[in-house]
Amino acid sequence: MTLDRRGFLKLCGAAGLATSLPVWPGGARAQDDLEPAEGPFWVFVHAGGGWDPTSLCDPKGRANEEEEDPMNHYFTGDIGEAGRIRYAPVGFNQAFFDKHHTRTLVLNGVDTQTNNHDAGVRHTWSGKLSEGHPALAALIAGRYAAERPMAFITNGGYDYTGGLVAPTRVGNIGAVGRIAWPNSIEGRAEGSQFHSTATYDRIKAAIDRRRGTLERDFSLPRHTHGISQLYDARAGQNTLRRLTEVLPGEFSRESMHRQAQVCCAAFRAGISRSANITMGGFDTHGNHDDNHIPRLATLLQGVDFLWDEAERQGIADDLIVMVGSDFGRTPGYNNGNGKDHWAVTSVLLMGRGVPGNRVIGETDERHRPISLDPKTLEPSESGSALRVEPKHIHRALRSLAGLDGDSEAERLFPLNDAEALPLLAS
Amino acid sequence: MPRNARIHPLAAVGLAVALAGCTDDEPIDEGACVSDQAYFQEVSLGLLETDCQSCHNPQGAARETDFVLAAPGETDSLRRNFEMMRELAAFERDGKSIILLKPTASIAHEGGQRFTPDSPQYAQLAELVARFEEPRQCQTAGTEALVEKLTLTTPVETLRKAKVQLVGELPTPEEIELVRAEGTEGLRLLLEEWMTRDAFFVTLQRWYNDLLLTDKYIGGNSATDLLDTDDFPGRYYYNDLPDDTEEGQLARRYSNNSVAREPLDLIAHVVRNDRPFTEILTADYILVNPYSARVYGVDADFEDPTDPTEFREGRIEGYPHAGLLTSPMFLNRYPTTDTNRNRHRARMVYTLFLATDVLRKAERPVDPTTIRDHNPTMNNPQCTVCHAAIDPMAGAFQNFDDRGRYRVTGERRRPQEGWYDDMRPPGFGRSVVPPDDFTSSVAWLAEQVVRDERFALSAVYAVYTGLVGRAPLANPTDQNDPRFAAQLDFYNFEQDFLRRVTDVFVSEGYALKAIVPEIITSPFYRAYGQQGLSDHELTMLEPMGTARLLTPEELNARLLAVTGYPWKHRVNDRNVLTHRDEYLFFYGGIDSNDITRRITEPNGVMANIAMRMANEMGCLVPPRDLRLPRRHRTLFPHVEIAYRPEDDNGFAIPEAEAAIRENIRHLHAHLLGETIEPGGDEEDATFALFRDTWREGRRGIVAGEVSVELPGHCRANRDFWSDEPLADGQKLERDPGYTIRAWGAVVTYLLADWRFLYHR
Repeated sequence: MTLDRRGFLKLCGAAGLATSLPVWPGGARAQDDLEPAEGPFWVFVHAGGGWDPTSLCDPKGRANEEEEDPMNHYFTGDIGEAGRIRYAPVGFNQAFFDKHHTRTLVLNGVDTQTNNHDAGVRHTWSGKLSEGHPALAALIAGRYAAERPMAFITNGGYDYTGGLVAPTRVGNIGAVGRIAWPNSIEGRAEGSQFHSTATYDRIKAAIDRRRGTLERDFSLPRHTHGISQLYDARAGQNTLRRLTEVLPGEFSRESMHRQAQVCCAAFRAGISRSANITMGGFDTHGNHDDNHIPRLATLLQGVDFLWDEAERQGIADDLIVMVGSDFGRTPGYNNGNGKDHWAVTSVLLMGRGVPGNRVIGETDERHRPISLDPKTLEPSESGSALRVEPKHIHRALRSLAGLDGDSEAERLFPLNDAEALPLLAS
Repeated sequence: MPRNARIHPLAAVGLAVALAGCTDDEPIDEGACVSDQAYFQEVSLGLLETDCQSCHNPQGAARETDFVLAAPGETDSLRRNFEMMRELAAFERDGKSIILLKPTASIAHEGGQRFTPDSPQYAQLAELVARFEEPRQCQTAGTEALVEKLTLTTPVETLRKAKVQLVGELPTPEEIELVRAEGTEGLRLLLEEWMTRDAFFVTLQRWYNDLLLTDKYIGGNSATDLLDTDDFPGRYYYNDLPDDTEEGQLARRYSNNSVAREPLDLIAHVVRNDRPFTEILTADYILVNPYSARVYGVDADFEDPTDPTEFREGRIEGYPHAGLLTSPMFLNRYPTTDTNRNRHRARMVYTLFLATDVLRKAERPVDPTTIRDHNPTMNNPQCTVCHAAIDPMAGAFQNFDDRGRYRVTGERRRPQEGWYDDMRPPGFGRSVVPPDDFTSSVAWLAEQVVRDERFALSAVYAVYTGLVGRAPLANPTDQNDPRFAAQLDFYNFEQDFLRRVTDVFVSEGYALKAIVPEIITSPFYRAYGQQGLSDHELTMLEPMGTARLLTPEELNARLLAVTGYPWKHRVNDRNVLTHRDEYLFFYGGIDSNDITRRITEPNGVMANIAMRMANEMGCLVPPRDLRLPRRHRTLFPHVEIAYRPEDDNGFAIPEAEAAIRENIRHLHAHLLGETIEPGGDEEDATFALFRDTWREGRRGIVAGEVSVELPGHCRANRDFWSDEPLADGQKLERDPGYTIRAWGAVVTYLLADWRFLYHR
């Protein structure tokens, strides 16, 4: 069940909660005059299926050939370092961290509290294990860009929106011109039109007038919500044209790269504020080294491409990227040379407002999380020590996004059980 | 304390869970009436789940007692726990219920004293016992009162809505007359007839593909590639046919797609032949057509060996058929690994055919890093909460390997003999697969599953989801959610209805067709308005009704139904709504592979696509319709092209205006199913759009600024369906009076309307 803002405010009113709610910016209005959106722009990169942090940024090798039940087949002595970040000596890790360590914060030993895919994905990207909480991407888009036509671009992953914003899925980019110019027969600014401009404006005015009739005739919440959805979605119709001006001339054949190209173009066009980029195939229960490590390499190459594309579009300084997965994978290898589900994982944060070249959190030699002092973030055995969970990361990111404190996000979907950890303190 | 004086604590802060007034004699505050089920949910969340359930669960220390609670979040757990508690509460000692005596250790309780008789927990249970003794009718009476506040579609309106949705056609005048005379009973008669049509089975298969996602394998060799050459040496038989002939190309396409669609075709076959729906799992055959029969090497006679719609029930030698559970497509769509050991398949059986998200049991946090037990999936409660249900069923799939190949013995089998010792034995619930059924354990499983009452519920869920456009609400569990009380009320309201539909389905011999009219004639399908609902009721009824954006496939079907044409310029062009390289994904469609969840909330991109559709169809369709004699027209039966609203001096032409207005009313009714008042605001608004557009165009033509020719893209110069050029006298390429384009504006306006774009 989704709930629109009006619906929620109505509910708050019923419960006596809505006396001082601030009005969210945006909403339906004439859109020709929309200013290009300002950053920051957020990208959430999801490694679908549960990745193995010990093959990435929380390396656990083996001491020698004879070691029984090794965590990994690479040797501990080969573990690499880029600045303060240690990485597994496999795949694309060295190239990636050598290039990006100064903008990267690694969070190790993150406890997702589950080994169930659905719950893990939900927990990682919403900060809540239970159902019904929107992705951070949706909260951000709903807060800052709800009226924009591609406010929240999703290529899969966790994209529950809680009714705050309509998600956008991208198909064949070649069709964008026809979509952006719905009254143009050829799908471009010039040329033949289905209706003259004056007629088209007249039709749109008639459609706008009609809204009152519809809302009078259909008064159930689901119906009124649907009417609002359609009219709100129409509000940003003309701004979609900006996308056609900044789309790359050629699109990559690599899925992640293509996703990155569309996201960056949409950010630059000012019609989007957040996006999910996904790559699946990480649920490799067998032949870990052959199946999983190449996927990690492809994933990192995709993130690397994202940064290059952001530079090309001139938005890199305004970009924030979170890279994560459902959960981690079990210590050592199973009898199929694979690794199964494990609740402990890592998260990479990159970009504007993120202190780079830093690692927070540790795990022991069998990838069990070590509790941290909530103030110093150093390993601790004191009573106040805790494990970093997705809720802590999300609390910090909400703060970075301006969604903390008295924000609507906090009122609608609170993270009030999450301790405030200085994860992003410089 | 008199019963009606009990005030629910939440009522005081305005979040009461009652639906409406209670039936007790004394009037009470409307918001204070709390149904027994709602009260029980509160007890569940506050006491049973936090304390009792730690031992009283199917794997807990008290698993052998009569008090075993179903896990929270498990389908129907609330009702089942409620019934069990009610039965237990009737057992008394010295006049006191044992559910009060046990936890206070007043009688022997292995869990010791959980609370004292003066505690709030005791008071809560005492209240529950009192309610069991004297049940309250609050919920039922409230539901009826609630429904009275809703506005429902009339039987005739429901007729149109249902027929377009089910078979993609508008009702005939005879059907309208029947329903006008007979009401919903007439509608039920018509539904029976529609549910014999091919179009209904297309709809039914789409609903089920949204669940099964086996259409992933449509196209290329995606399906036949999954078959093993040793098992099916004929899987690529079509490669021997010349590829440059139509026969060879059709054989390739039909063969792959028939194999891919076998699970969905089986569902259609069972329903079409009025068999018990249980047969989708218990069928001891594989459904084949002339093409898939050759792929599978199944011996079957066909009247027309080139007809892909001719089906036979075939048998693969030595293969233990169990309906779609043993379909290679189902088994490959939900594959397994050496360590997964069929658990994924078992989970999907629970989800699809037992209406149970078994992993919801594990929604609470678990900490696998602390697990030190030997074989935790057998011994650790954090794991057994799911594995106790999943693992036996996973074992029942023991004879199918990771690629869905049937392997009773041999090198490829995992394990090579028997089943894993470190898992629960193959079975279902508390039953174990008998030794005699070892080689056909999936068939044994299928028999168990269809006997489970949740199987019938799962079929009702599937049809309900298809018709209403959303899955039934899950049992709410987050008491901190401000919507919790309202959601719980709706959950009970909806579940009560779905249970009754399930009873009908079962009593009709598992006839799937029996479900459809029950839902279509219900408020859940027909409600669209309300009067006098309280804030609580409004929140509760947020999921009520069918309003949602049409899927690309549904929008395509609706366009065809009302205009007579799909959204295409020429018949052999791609269908832009349903083609993967056009707007399918932009408009929220799925490919059953990477994209498996539909987007049902329109965004700016989707709004533009809908607008482009309305613009293009407003340009394409009026000339195609207006070139026909009036008696053959769909959209413009009341006007001629020459009918214009005003003369050259700007004076109205009353006869023409009357005809134009009559046609406007026809268009509102035909395209939107909306009856508008003659001379009313809606008619005036649409007429003004027509007239002002006509004036603009006429002025332009007179000034020489506007062409008298229609845009080239929109001229009617070919027969759409045959794609043959029209004779000169039949073409419509010019619009010197600008009326065609004025009508085009009207058609665009109406096709862009919310009523048209939404299922409502």
